[in-house]
Amino acid sequence: MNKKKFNKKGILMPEVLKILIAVLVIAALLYLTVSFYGILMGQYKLQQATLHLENIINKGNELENGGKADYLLTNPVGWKLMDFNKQNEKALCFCPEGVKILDTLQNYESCSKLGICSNSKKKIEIVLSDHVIYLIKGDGPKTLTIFAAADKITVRPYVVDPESDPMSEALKDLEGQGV
Amino acid sequence: MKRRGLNKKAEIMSSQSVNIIIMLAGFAIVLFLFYRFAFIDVIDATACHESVILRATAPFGNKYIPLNCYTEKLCVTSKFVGSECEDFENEKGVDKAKVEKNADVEKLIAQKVLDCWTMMGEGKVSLFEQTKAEFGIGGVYPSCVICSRIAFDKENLDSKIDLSKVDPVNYMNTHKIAGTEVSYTKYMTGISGGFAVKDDIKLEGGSYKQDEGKKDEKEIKVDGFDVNLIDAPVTPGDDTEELAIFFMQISAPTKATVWKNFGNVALAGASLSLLISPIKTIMGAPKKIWEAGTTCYKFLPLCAGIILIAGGVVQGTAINNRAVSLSKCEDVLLSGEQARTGCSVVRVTNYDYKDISKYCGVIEGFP
Repeated sequence: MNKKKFNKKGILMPEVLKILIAVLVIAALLYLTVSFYGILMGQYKLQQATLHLENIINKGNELENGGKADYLLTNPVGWKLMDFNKQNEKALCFCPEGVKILDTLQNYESCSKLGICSNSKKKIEIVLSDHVIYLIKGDGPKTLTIFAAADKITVRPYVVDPESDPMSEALKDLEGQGV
Repeated sequence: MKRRGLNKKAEIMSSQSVNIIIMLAGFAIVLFLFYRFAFIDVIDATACHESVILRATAPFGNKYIPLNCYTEKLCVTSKFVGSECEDFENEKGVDKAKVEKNADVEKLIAQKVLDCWTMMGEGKVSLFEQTKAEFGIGGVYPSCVICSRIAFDKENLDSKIDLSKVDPVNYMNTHKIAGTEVSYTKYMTGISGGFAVKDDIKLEGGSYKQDEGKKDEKEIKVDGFDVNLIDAPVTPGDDTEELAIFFMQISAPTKATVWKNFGNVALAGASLSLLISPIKTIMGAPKKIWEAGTTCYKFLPLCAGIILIAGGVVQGTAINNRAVSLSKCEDVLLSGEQARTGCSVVRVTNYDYKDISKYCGVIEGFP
Protein backbone atom coordinates (compact mmCIF):
# COMPACT_ATOMS: atom_id res chain seq x y z
CA MET A 1 0.00 0.00 0.00
CA ASN A 2 2.80 2.35 1.00
CA LYS A 3 4.78 1.45 -2.12
CA LYS A 4 1.74 2.28 -4.31
CA LYS A 5 1.48 5.75 -2.77
CA PHE A 6 5.17 6.35 -3.33
CA ASN A 7 4.86 5.34 -7.01
CA LYS A 8 2.00 7.79 -7.50
CA LYS A 9 4.20 10.57 -6.17
CA GLY A 10 6.96 9.39 -8.49
CA ILE A 11 4.70 9.82 -11.49
CA LEU A 12 3.54 13.25 -10.42
CA MET A 13 6.99 14.68 -9.73
CA PRO A 14 8.27 14.62 -13.34
CA GLU A 15 5.04 16.29 -14.50
CA VAL A 16 5.44 19.09 -11.98
CA LEU A 17 9.05 19.44 -13.05
CA LYS A 18 8.01 19.68 -16.70
CA ILE A 19 5.45 22.37 -15.90
CA LEU A 20 8.03 24.26 -13.88
CA ILE A 21 10.55 24.08 -16.72
CA ALA A 22 7.88 25.15 -19.25
CA VAL A 23 6.92 28.13 -17.09
CA LEU A 24 10.59 29.08 -16.68
CA VAL A 25 11.23 28.79 -20.42
CA ILE A 26 8.14 30.91 -21.21
CA ALA A 27 9.31 33.53 -18.70
CA ALA A 28 12.80 33.53 -20.23
CA LEU A 29 11.34 33.88 -23.73
CA LEU A 30 9.13 36.76 -22.61
CA TYR A 31 12.14 38.43 -20.98
CA LEU A 32 14.20 37.99 -24.14
CA THR A 33 11.41 39.39 -26.33
CA VAL A 34 10.97 42.43 -24.11
CA SER A 35 14.76 42.98 -24.01
CA PHE A 36 14.95 42.60 -27.79
CA TYR A 37 12.19 45.15 -28.30
CA GLY A 38 13.92 47.40 -25.76
CA ILE A 39 17.22 47.17 -27.65
CA LEU A 40 15.44 47.86 -30.94
CA MET A 41 13.62 50.87 -29.50
CA GLY A 42 16.75 52.20 -27.76
CA GLN A 43 18.71 51.99 -30.98
CA TYR A 44 15.85 53.59 -32.90
CA LYS A 45 15.71 56.60 -30.57
CA LEU A 46 19.50 56.85 -30.46
CA GLN A 47 19.63 56.93 -34.25
CA GLN A 48 16.97 59.67 -34.32
CA ALA A 49 18.91 61.66 -31.72
CA THR A 50 22.21 61.22 -33.57
CA LEU A 51 20.75 62.49 -36.85
CA HIS A 52 19.15 65.53 -35.22
CA LEU A 53 22.29 66.39 -33.26
CA GLU A 54 24.42 66.12 -36.41
CA ASN A 55 22.00 68.39 -38.28
CA ILE A 56 21.94 71.01 -35.50
CA ILE A 57 25.73 71.10 -35.22
CA ASN A 58 26.21 71.18 -39.00
CA LYS A 59 23.75 74.05 -39.29
CA GLY A 60 25.53 75.93 -36.49
CA ASN A 61 29.01 75.35 -37.89
CA GLU A 62 28.05 76.43 -41.41
CA LEU A 63 26.43 79.69 -40.26
CA GLU A 64 28.39 82.89 -40.68
CA ASN A 65 28.87 85.20 -37.70
CA GLY A 66 25.53 86.77 -36.87
CA GLY A 67 23.71 84.19 -39.00
CA LYS A 68 20.49 82.56 -37.85
CA ALA A 69 18.72 79.37 -38.88
CA ASP A 70 15.62 77.54 -37.74
CA TYR A 71 15.55 73.81 -37.20
CA LEU A 72 12.54 71.60 -36.55
CA LEU A 73 13.31 69.09 -33.83
CA THR A 74 10.80 66.27 -34.22
CA ASN A 75 12.06 63.37 -32.09
CA PRO A 76 12.99 61.27 -30.08
CA VAL A 77 10.09 61.91 -27.77
CA GLY A 78 10.92 61.82 -24.06
CA TRP A 79 14.54 62.82 -24.67
CA LYS A 80 16.11 66.19 -23.89
CA LEU A 81 18.68 68.38 -25.57
CA MET A 82 21.22 69.66 -23.03
CA ASP A 83 24.56 71.41 -22.99
CA PHE A 84 27.40 70.36 -20.71
CA ASN A 85 30.49 72.25 -19.63
CA LYS A 86 33.26 69.80 -20.38
CA GLN A 87 36.56 71.24 -19.13
CA ASN A 88 36.01 74.75 -20.49
CA GLU A 89 34.35 73.33 -23.58
CA LYS A 90 30.64 73.01 -24.21
CA ALA A 91 29.21 69.79 -25.56
CA LEU A 92 25.69 69.48 -26.91
CA CYS A 93 24.00 66.26 -25.88
CA PHE A 94 20.75 64.46 -26.57
CA CYS A 95 19.95 62.50 -23.41
CA PRO A 96 17.29 59.87 -22.78
CA GLU A 97 14.90 59.76 -19.84
CA GLY A 98 16.74 58.93 -16.66
CA VAL A 99 19.71 61.24 -17.20
CA LYS A 100 19.60 64.02 -14.62
CA ILE A 101 19.59 67.59 -15.88
CA LEU A 102 22.31 68.95 -13.60
CA ASP A 103 25.51 69.90 -15.42
CA THR A 104 27.92 67.48 -13.74
CA LEU A 105 30.64 65.26 -15.13
CA GLN A 106 28.74 62.21 -13.91
CA ASN A 107 25.60 63.24 -15.80
CA TYR A 108 27.67 64.05 -18.88
CA GLU A 109 29.24 60.60 -18.81
CA SER A 110 25.87 58.97 -18.25
CA CYS A 111 24.40 60.90 -21.19
CA SER A 112 27.37 60.06 -23.44
CA LYS A 113 26.84 56.40 -22.63
CA LEU A 114 23.04 56.22 -22.95
CA GLY A 115 22.48 59.04 -25.42
CA ILE A 116 24.70 61.00 -27.75
CA CYS A 117 27.03 63.95 -27.21
CA SER A 118 28.91 65.98 -29.75
CA ASN A 119 31.41 68.80 -29.78
CA SER A 120 31.27 71.46 -32.46
CA LYS A 121 34.05 73.61 -33.90
CA LYS A 122 32.68 76.49 -31.82
CA LYS A 123 31.39 76.45 -28.26
CA ILE A 124 27.74 75.54 -28.21
CA GLU A 125 25.17 76.62 -25.66
CA ILE A 126 21.45 76.37 -25.04
CA VAL A 127 20.12 79.81 -24.13
CA LEU A 128 17.65 78.82 -21.44
CA SER A 129 17.94 79.20 -17.69
CA ASP A 130 18.16 75.43 -17.15
CA HIS A 131 20.03 74.76 -20.43
CA VAL A 132 17.59 71.99 -21.35
CA ILE A 133 15.10 71.63 -24.20
CA TYR A 134 12.55 68.87 -23.59
CA LEU A 135 10.67 66.88 -26.21
CA ILE A 136 7.48 65.87 -24.44
CA LYS A 137 5.16 63.11 -25.64
CA GLY A 138 2.01 64.60 -27.10
CA ASP A 139 3.44 68.11 -27.48
CA GLY A 140 4.65 67.72 -31.05
CA PRO A 141 7.89 69.06 -32.53
CA LYS A 142 9.87 72.11 -31.44
CA THR A 143 11.44 74.74 -33.64
CA LEU A 144 14.93 75.66 -32.55
CA THR A 145 16.63 78.89 -33.49
CA ILE A 146 20.34 78.39 -34.05
CA PHE A 147 22.42 81.53 -33.87
CA ALA A 148 26.12 81.91 -34.65
CA ALA A 149 27.92 84.52 -32.56
CA ALA A 150 31.63 85.37 -32.84
CA ASP A 151 32.87 82.62 -30.58
CA LYS A 152 29.89 80.40 -29.99
CA ILE A 153 26.72 78.87 -31.32
CA THR A 154 23.54 79.31 -29.35
CA VAL A 155 20.45 77.16 -29.57
CA ARG A 156 17.06 78.05 -28.15
CA PRO A 157 13.41 77.25 -28.74
CA TYR A 158 11.76 79.52 -31.29
CA VAL A 159 9.97 82.45 -29.70
CA VAL A 160 7.07 84.09 -31.54
CA ASP A 161 7.49 87.39 -29.76
CA PRO A 162 11.15 87.91 -28.78
CA GLU A 163 10.26 90.93 -26.62
CA SER A 164 8.20 88.75 -24.26
CA ASP A 165 11.02 86.25 -23.96
CA PRO A 166 12.67 86.40 -20.51
CA MET A 167 15.99 85.54 -22.14
CA SER A 168 15.71 88.38 -24.68
CA GLU A 169 18.35 90.55 -22.98
CA ALA A 170 20.91 87.74 -23.05
CA LEU A 171 20.05 87.11 -26.69
CA LYS A 172 20.44 90.75 -27.62
CA ASP A 173 23.91 90.68 -26.06
CA LEU A 174 24.81 87.61 -28.07
CA GLU A 175 23.50 89.08 -31.29
CA GLY A 176 25.55 92.19 -30.56
CA GLN A 177 28.65 90.02 -30.28
CA GLY A 178 27.91 88.30 -33.55
CA VAL A 179 27.38 91.30 -35.76
CA MET B 1 62.38 27.57 -70.76
CA LYS B 2 62.50 29.57 -67.59
CA ARG B 3 62.21 32.80 -69.51
CA ARG B 4 59.16 31.53 -71.38
CA GLY B 5 57.54 30.64 -68.05
CA LEU B 6 58.18 34.13 -66.79
CA ASN B 7 56.60 35.66 -69.89
CA LYS B 8 53.54 33.49 -69.48
CA LYS B 9 53.24 34.69 -65.88
CA ALA B 10 53.50 38.29 -67.02
CA GLU B 11 50.84 37.67 -69.65
CA ILE B 12 48.52 36.14 -67.05
CA MET B 13 49.20 39.01 -64.65
CA SER B 14 48.46 41.67 -67.25
CA SER B 15 45.27 39.97 -68.44
CA GLN B 16 44.16 39.62 -64.81
CA SER B 17 44.78 43.27 -64.08
CA VAL B 18 42.87 44.25 -67.24
CA ASN B 19 39.96 42.11 -66.02
CA ILE B 20 40.12 43.68 -62.59
CA ILE B 21 40.18 47.18 -64.10
CA ILE B 22 37.21 46.35 -66.34
CA MET B 23 35.32 44.93 -63.37
CA LEU B 24 36.06 47.99 -61.25
CA ALA B 25 35.01 50.30 -64.08
CA GLY B 26 31.82 48.29 -64.53
CA PHE B 27 31.14 48.49 -60.83
CA ALA B 28 31.72 52.25 -60.86
CA ILE B 29 29.28 52.63 -63.78
CA VAL B 30 26.68 50.53 -61.96
CA LEU B 31 27.18 52.64 -58.81
CA PHE B 32 26.89 55.85 -60.82
CA LEU B 33 23.67 54.68 -62.44
CA PHE B 34 22.40 53.55 -59.06
CA TYR B 35 22.80 57.04 -57.61
CA ARG B 36 21.88 58.82 -60.85
CA PHE B 37 18.45 57.24 -60.96
CA ALA B 38 17.88 57.73 -57.25
CA PHE B 39 17.17 54.10 -56.46
CA ILE B 40 18.05 55.05 -52.91
CA ASP B 41 14.61 56.68 -52.60
CA VAL B 42 12.94 53.46 -53.72
CA ILE B 43 15.02 51.50 -51.21
CA ASP B 44 14.08 53.96 -48.45
CA ALA B 45 10.39 53.73 -49.33
CA THR B 46 10.51 49.92 -49.44
CA ALA B 47 12.36 49.70 -46.12
CA CYS B 48 9.79 52.05 -44.59
CA HIS B 49 6.86 50.09 -46.00
CA GLU B 50 8.33 46.81 -44.74
CA SER B 51 8.75 48.22 -41.24
CA VAL B 52 5.13 49.44 -41.40
CA ILE B 53 3.95 45.94 -42.32
CA LEU B 54 6.13 44.38 -39.62
CA ARG B 55 4.71 46.74 -37.01
CA ALA B 56 1.15 46.22 -38.18
CA THR B 57 1.38 42.43 -38.08
CA ALA B 58 3.27 42.03 -34.80
CA PRO B 59 1.09 40.02 -32.41
CA PHE B 60 1.89 42.29 -29.44
CA GLY B 61 4.06 45.22 -28.43
CA ASN B 62 3.98 46.60 -31.96
CA LYS B 63 4.84 50.10 -30.78
CA TYR B 64 8.33 48.81 -29.99
CA ILE B 65 9.04 47.96 -33.60
CA PRO B 66 10.89 50.90 -35.13
CA LEU B 67 9.52 52.58 -38.22
CA ASN B 68 12.43 52.71 -40.62
CA CYS B 69 11.14 55.79 -42.46
CA TYR B 70 13.37 58.67 -43.52
CA THR B 71 11.97 62.07 -44.48
CA GLU B 72 12.64 62.79 -48.12
CA LYS B 73 13.97 66.30 -48.81
CA LEU B 74 12.96 67.59 -52.19
CA CYS B 75 14.15 70.83 -53.74
CA VAL B 76 11.86 71.95 -56.57
CA THR B 77 13.79 73.82 -59.22
CA SER B 78 13.91 74.45 -62.96
CA LYS B 79 17.67 74.02 -63.20
CA PHE B 80 19.75 71.11 -62.10
CA VAL B 81 23.11 72.85 -62.10
CA GLY B 82 23.72 75.64 -59.60
CA SER B 83 20.30 75.41 -58.05
CA GLU B 84 19.75 75.26 -54.32
CA CYS B 85 16.85 75.59 -51.94
CA GLU B 86 17.52 78.05 -49.16
CA ASP B 87 15.44 75.99 -46.73
CA PHE B 88 17.76 73.02 -47.14
CA GLU B 89 20.95 74.99 -46.67
CA ASN B 90 23.61 72.86 -44.93
CA GLU B 91 21.36 69.81 -44.95
CA LYS B 92 22.42 66.45 -46.32
CA GLY B 93 20.50 64.11 -48.64
CA VAL B 94 18.55 66.70 -50.61
CA ASP B 95 17.06 65.48 -53.92
CA LYS B 96 16.16 67.80 -56.73
CA ALA B 97 12.97 67.74 -58.80
CA LYS B 98 13.00 69.58 -62.11
CA VAL B 99 9.77 71.32 -63.07
CA GLU B 100 8.88 73.40 -66.11
CA LYS B 101 5.25 74.30 -65.59
CA ASN B 102 2.57 74.51 -62.89
CA ALA B 103 1.24 71.06 -63.75
CA ASP B 104 4.66 69.55 -62.98
CA VAL B 105 4.52 70.99 -59.44
CA GLU B 106 0.94 69.75 -59.01
CA LYS B 107 1.90 66.28 -60.24
CA LEU B 108 4.91 66.18 -57.93
CA ILE B 109 2.85 67.04 -54.84
CA ALA B 110 0.08 64.61 -55.85
CA GLN B 111 2.62 61.83 -56.37
CA LYS B 112 4.31 62.46 -53.02
CA VAL B 113 0.94 62.46 -51.24
CA LEU B 114 0.10 59.13 -52.89
CA ASP B 115 3.55 57.69 -52.10
CA CYS B 116 3.14 58.65 -48.46
CA TRP B 117 -0.31 57.06 -48.32
CA THR B 118 0.84 53.75 -49.86
CA MET B 119 4.08 53.66 -47.90
CA MET B 120 2.20 53.99 -44.61
CA GLY B 121 -0.26 51.19 -45.35
CA GLU B 122 -3.14 53.18 -46.92
CA GLY B 123 -4.81 53.70 -43.53
CA LYS B 124 -5.66 50.00 -43.34
CA VAL B 125 -3.43 49.24 -40.38
CA SER B 126 -3.16 50.59 -36.87
CA LEU B 127 0.44 51.71 -36.43
CA PHE B 128 0.52 53.71 -33.26
CA GLU B 129 -0.65 51.61 -30.35
CA GLN B 130 -1.80 53.52 -27.27
CA THR B 131 -2.39 50.71 -24.80
CA LYS B 132 -3.48 52.86 -21.84
CA ALA B 133 -6.15 54.59 -23.92
CA GLU B 134 -7.54 51.18 -24.92
CA PHE B 135 -8.43 50.77 -21.22
CA GLY B 136 -9.64 54.32 -20.69
CA ILE B 137 -6.74 55.20 -18.40
CA GLY B 138 -4.63 57.35 -20.68
CA GLY B 139 -5.07 60.10 -23.23
CA VAL B 140 -4.79 59.79 -27.01
CA TYR B 141 -2.72 61.96 -29.31
CA PRO B 142 -2.14 61.82 -33.04
CA SER B 143 1.10 60.23 -34.24
CA CYS B 144 2.77 61.15 -37.50
CA VAL B 145 5.50 60.23 -39.92
CA ILE B 146 6.83 63.05 -42.08
CA CYS B 147 7.20 61.49 -45.52
CA SER B 148 8.50 64.48 -47.49
CA ARG B 149 9.64 68.03 -47.16
CA ILE B 150 9.27 70.11 -50.31
CA ALA B 151 11.07 73.41 -50.73
CA PHE B 152 11.12 75.74 -53.73
CA ASP B 153 14.21 77.21 -55.34
CA LYS B 154 12.43 80.45 -56.21
CA GLU B 155 15.49 82.03 -57.81
CA ASN B 156 15.76 79.31 -60.41
CA LEU B 157 12.11 78.49 -60.99
CA ASP B 158 10.93 78.87 -64.55
CA SER B 159 9.13 82.15 -65.21
CA LYS B 160 6.15 80.12 -66.51
CA ILE B 161 5.60 78.75 -63.01
CA ASP B 162 3.25 80.71 -60.77
CA LEU B 163 3.17 79.00 -57.38
CA SER B 164 0.06 80.89 -56.30
CA LYS B 165 -1.86 79.18 -59.13
CA VAL B 166 -0.65 75.66 -58.38
CA ASP B 167 -3.70 73.57 -57.41
CA PRO B 168 -2.82 70.00 -56.43
CA VAL B 169 -6.37 69.24 -55.21
CA ASN B 170 -7.75 69.91 -58.65
CA TYR B 171 -4.92 67.88 -60.17
CA MET B 172 -5.72 64.92 -57.93
CA ASN B 173 -9.41 65.13 -58.82
CA THR B 174 -8.86 65.34 -62.55
CA HIS B 175 -5.79 63.20 -63.25
CA LYS B 176 -5.40 59.44 -63.30
CA ILE B 177 -2.54 57.65 -61.60
CA ALA B 178 -0.05 56.39 -64.20
CA GLY B 179 -0.91 52.84 -65.27
CA THR B 180 -4.38 52.88 -63.73
CA GLU B 181 -7.82 54.04 -64.69
CA VAL B 182 -8.57 55.87 -61.45
CA SER B 183 -7.81 59.38 -60.32
CA TYR B 184 -5.57 60.09 -57.32
CA THR B 185 -8.62 61.12 -55.31
CA LYS B 186 -10.64 58.03 -56.22
CA TYR B 187 -7.72 55.73 -55.46
CA MET B 188 -6.94 57.28 -52.10
CA THR B 189 -10.51 57.56 -50.92
CA GLY B 190 -11.65 54.18 -52.21
CA ILE B 191 -14.45 53.46 -54.67
CA SER B 192 -17.19 53.83 -52.07
CA GLY B 193 -15.47 56.71 -50.36
CA GLY B 194 -15.13 60.38 -50.83
CA PHE B 195 -13.07 63.06 -49.31
CA ALA B 196 -13.68 66.12 -47.25
CA VAL B 197 -11.52 69.17 -47.50
CA LYS B 198 -10.67 71.99 -45.22
CA ASP B 199 -12.30 75.02 -46.77
CA ASP B 200 -9.77 77.53 -45.55
CA ILE B 201 -6.11 76.77 -45.06
CA LYS B 202 -4.08 79.73 -44.06
CA LEU B 203 -0.49 80.00 -45.17
CA GLU B 204 2.01 82.49 -43.93
CA GLY B 205 1.35 85.58 -45.97
CA GLY B 206 -1.57 84.10 -47.89
CA SER B 207 -4.49 81.76 -47.73
CA TYR B 208 -6.05 79.11 -49.89
CA LYS B 209 -9.80 78.74 -50.13
CA GLN B 210 -11.28 75.56 -51.53
CA ASP B 211 -14.08 76.21 -54.00
CA GLU B 212 -17.45 75.11 -52.69
CA GLY B 213 -18.17 73.35 -55.95
CA LYS B 214 -15.14 71.13 -55.59
CA LYS B 215 -16.34 69.53 -52.38
CA ASP B 216 -17.09 65.87 -52.72
CA GLU B 217 -19.78 65.07 -50.23
CA LYS B 218 -20.24 61.34 -50.72
CA GLU B 219 -20.74 59.32 -47.58
CA ILE B 220 -17.61 57.66 -46.28
CA LYS B 221 -17.62 54.04 -45.17
CA VAL B 222 -15.75 53.75 -41.92
CA ASP B 223 -14.72 50.50 -40.36
CA GLY B 224 -12.03 50.76 -37.73
CA PHE B 225 -8.98 51.97 -39.54
CA ASP B 226 -10.34 51.51 -43.05
CA VAL B 227 -10.82 55.23 -43.31
CA ASN B 228 -9.46 56.25 -46.66
CA LEU B 229 -9.05 59.95 -46.60
CA ILE B 230 -6.78 62.63 -47.81
CA ASP B 231 -6.61 66.11 -46.48
CA ALA B 232 -6.71 68.90 -48.99
CA PRO B 233 -3.17 69.71 -49.99
CA VAL B 234 -2.17 73.27 -49.40
CA THR B 235 -1.74 75.33 -52.51
CA PRO B 236 1.77 76.72 -52.35
CA GLY B 237 1.47 80.48 -52.39
CA ASP B 238 4.24 82.93 -53.15
CA ASP B 239 5.22 83.15 -49.50
CA THR B 240 5.29 79.42 -48.88
CA GLU B 241 8.72 78.57 -47.58
CA GLU B 242 8.54 74.82 -47.32
CA LEU B 243 5.83 72.16 -47.34
CA ALA B 244 5.56 69.03 -45.24
CA ILE B 245 3.72 65.94 -46.43
CA PHE B 246 2.96 63.74 -43.48
CA PHE B 247 0.87 60.77 -42.51
CA MET B 248 -1.23 61.22 -39.38
CA GLN B 249 -3.14 58.58 -37.45
CA ILE B 250 -5.25 58.74 -34.31
CA SER B 251 -7.77 56.36 -32.82
CA ALA B 252 -9.98 56.59 -29.77
CA PRO B 253 -11.90 53.53 -28.60
CA THR B 254 -15.60 53.80 -27.88
CA LYS B 255 -16.80 53.43 -24.29
CA ALA B 256 -18.10 49.97 -25.17
CA THR B 257 -14.71 48.97 -26.61
CA VAL B 258 -12.97 50.09 -23.41
CA TRP B 259 -15.20 47.85 -21.27
CA LYS B 260 -14.84 45.05 -23.81
CA ASN B 261 -11.06 45.31 -23.46
CA PHE B 262 -11.35 44.93 -19.69
CA GLY B 263 -13.55 41.87 -20.28
CA ASN B 264 -11.00 40.44 -22.71
CA VAL B 265 -8.20 40.84 -20.18
CA ALA B 266 -10.28 39.11 -17.48
CA LEU B 267 -11.09 36.32 -19.94
CA ALA B 268 -7.43 35.95 -20.92
CA GLY B 269 -6.42 35.78 -17.24
CA ALA B 270 -9.03 33.11 -16.55
CA SER B 271 -7.93 31.08 -19.59
CA LEU B 272 -4.29 31.27 -18.53
CA SER B 273 -5.20 30.19 -15.01
CA LEU B 274 -7.24 27.30 -16.45
CA LEU B 275 -4.32 26.28 -18.62
CA ILE B 276 -1.81 26.31 -15.78
CA SER B 277 -3.91 24.60 -13.12
CA PRO B 278 -7.37 23.65 -14.39
CA ILE B 279 -8.66 21.85 -11.28
CA LYS B 280 -7.52 24.53 -8.86
CA THR B 281 -9.11 27.23 -11.04
CA ILE B 282 -12.45 25.44 -11.41
CA MET B 283 -12.64 24.54 -7.74
CA GLY B 284 -11.19 27.77 -6.40
CA ALA B 285 -12.69 30.46 -8.64
CA PRO B 286 -16.27 30.46 -7.26
CA LYS B 287 -14.85 30.60 -3.73
CA LYS B 288 -12.59 33.52 -4.61
CA ILE B 289 -15.45 35.41 -6.31
CA TRP B 290 -17.71 34.74 -3.31
CA GLU B 291 -14.99 35.97 -0.92
CA ALA B 292 -14.46 39.13 -2.95
CA GLY B 293 -18.21 39.74 -3.01
CA THR B 294 -18.62 39.30 0.75
CA THR B 295 -15.61 41.53 1.50
CA CYS B 296 -17.09 44.21 -0.74
CA TYR B 297 -20.45 43.80 1.01
CA LYS B 298 -18.78 44.23 4.40
CA PHE B 299 -17.36 47.60 3.37
CA LEU B 300 -20.17 48.50 0.98
CA PRO B 301 -19.82 52.31 0.88
CA LEU B 302 -16.05 52.11 0.32
CA CYS B 303 -16.34 49.34 -2.27
CA ALA B 304 -19.17 51.08 -4.13
CA GLY B 305 -17.20 54.35 -4.03
CA ILE B 306 -14.11 52.73 -5.51
CA ILE B 307 -16.13 51.03 -8.26
CA LEU B 308 -17.99 54.25 -9.09
CA ILE B 309 -14.84 56.40 -9.16
CA ALA B 310 -12.89 53.86 -11.25
CA GLY B 311 -15.83 53.48 -13.64
CA GLY B 312 -16.23 57.25 -13.86
CA VAL B 313 -12.55 57.79 -14.62
CA VAL B 314 -12.57 55.14 -17.36
CA GLN B 315 -15.80 56.50 -18.85
CA GLY B 316 -14.61 60.11 -18.63
CA THR B 317 -11.24 59.34 -20.22
CA ALA B 318 -12.94 57.50 -23.08
CA ILE B 319 -15.24 60.49 -23.70
CA ASN B 320 -12.33 62.92 -23.56
CA ASN B 321 -10.24 60.79 -25.93
CA ARG B 322 -13.06 60.74 -28.46
CA ALA B 323 -13.30 64.52 -28.23
CA VAL B 324 -9.56 64.79 -28.93
CA SER B 325 -9.95 62.48 -31.92
CA LEU B 326 -12.86 64.57 -33.19
CA SER B 327 -10.78 67.75 -33.00
CA LYS B 328 -7.98 66.16 -35.05
CA CYS B 329 -10.20 64.47 -37.65
CA GLU B 330 -13.29 66.67 -38.04
CA ASP B 331 -11.82 68.58 -40.98
CA VAL B 332 -11.47 65.42 -43.03
CA LEU B 333 -14.46 63.35 -42.01
CA LEU B 334 -18.05 64.13 -42.78
CA SER B 335 -19.66 62.60 -39.72
CA GLY B 336 -18.79 63.53 -36.15
CA GLU B 337 -19.17 59.93 -34.99
CA GLN B 338 -16.54 58.76 -37.50
CA ALA B 339 -14.16 61.51 -36.47
CA ARG B 340 -14.55 60.54 -32.82
CA THR B 341 -13.34 57.01 -33.61
CA GLY B 342 -10.23 58.18 -35.43
CA CYS B 343 -8.73 58.67 -38.82
CA SER B 344 -5.70 58.11 -41.01
CA VAL B 345 -4.83 61.13 -43.09
CA VAL B 346 -2.08 62.39 -45.36
CA ARG B 347 -1.76 66.09 -44.68
CA VAL B 348 0.10 68.78 -46.52
CA THR B 349 0.98 71.77 -44.38
CA ASN B 350 3.75 74.28 -43.97
CA TYR B 351 6.88 72.74 -42.52
CA ASP B 352 6.80 74.52 -39.18
CA TYR B 353 6.01 73.61 -35.62
CA LYS B 354 2.76 75.62 -35.57
CA ASP B 355 1.15 73.62 -38.37
CA ILE B 356 2.70 70.29 -37.53
CA SER B 357 2.03 70.51 -33.76
CA LYS B 358 -1.63 71.10 -34.54
CA TYR B 359 -1.84 67.57 -35.93
CA CYS B 360 1.09 65.61 -34.48
CA GLY B 361 1.62 64.81 -30.82
CA VAL B 362 4.44 62.42 -31.61
CA ILE B 363 6.53 62.17 -34.77
CA GLU B 364 8.14 58.88 -35.66
CA GLY B 365 10.75 58.03 -38.28
CA PHE B 366 14.05 59.70 -39.04
CA PRO B 367 14.72 63.32 -40.10
